[in-house]
Amino acid sequence: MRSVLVEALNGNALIHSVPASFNQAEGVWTHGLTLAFVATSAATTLRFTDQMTSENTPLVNWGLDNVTVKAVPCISRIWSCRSWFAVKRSVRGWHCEAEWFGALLVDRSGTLVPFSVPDLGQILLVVKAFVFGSYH
Amino acid sequence: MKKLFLLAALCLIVSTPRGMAATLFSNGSFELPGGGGTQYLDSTGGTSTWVTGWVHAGGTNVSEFYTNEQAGFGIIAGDGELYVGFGASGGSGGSLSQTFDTQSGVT
Repeated sequence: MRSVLVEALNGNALIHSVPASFNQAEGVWTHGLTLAFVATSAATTLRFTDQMTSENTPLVNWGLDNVTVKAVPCISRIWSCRSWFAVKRSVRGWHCEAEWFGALLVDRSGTLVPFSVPDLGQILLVVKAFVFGSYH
Repeated sequence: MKKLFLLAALCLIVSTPRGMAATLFSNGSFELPGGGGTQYLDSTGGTSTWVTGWVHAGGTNVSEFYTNEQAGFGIIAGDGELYVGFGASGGSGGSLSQTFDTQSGVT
């Protein structure tokens, strides 16, 4: 079992985190964690911390790749959607990427699931990680 | 057409504060700085910024590594050609972080 902690931080202040363990076959990449958070400042830090210990696993290596951060389109929060589409109409098709609101998340199986309030600015983070055997 | 340009300018002004360069999330596939073989992320006495846009801290000087070395581990990167490995040499506790611009409550 391998353990990693994924955190969203405002400076040193924790916004949200997701601890997780994974134990797939050696050398096989798999979708890792989904971390959703609402930014609380003009800059957010995303941090991955290795949490393997001799207690929770024989020490092995694991890999991290294909980290993505993206805003999730608003679907369930009708009021927010209507507000956004009104803005879109008013500027006749101009599109501001940063204005995308979020209310739904995609779980690991790709299924849309509701997310609790607050619903604005949800960020979907998808991490792919894999593990492979120790070489030292 | 004139209105269109005005709206575009307004959109830029609203989305990017004047005098500030936006720092977007980047290099999530760890393709930069590139290179071959394996590079250990040695943050002894501080941090390492070997991987473009990311900061490595903690661990040991040989616990986290940047690699495309398929021959060594027999592992092909999950995306692109390079990836970051954790926990080599019996080390643990290393971290990798990136700070990027957001908007409070809206991002």
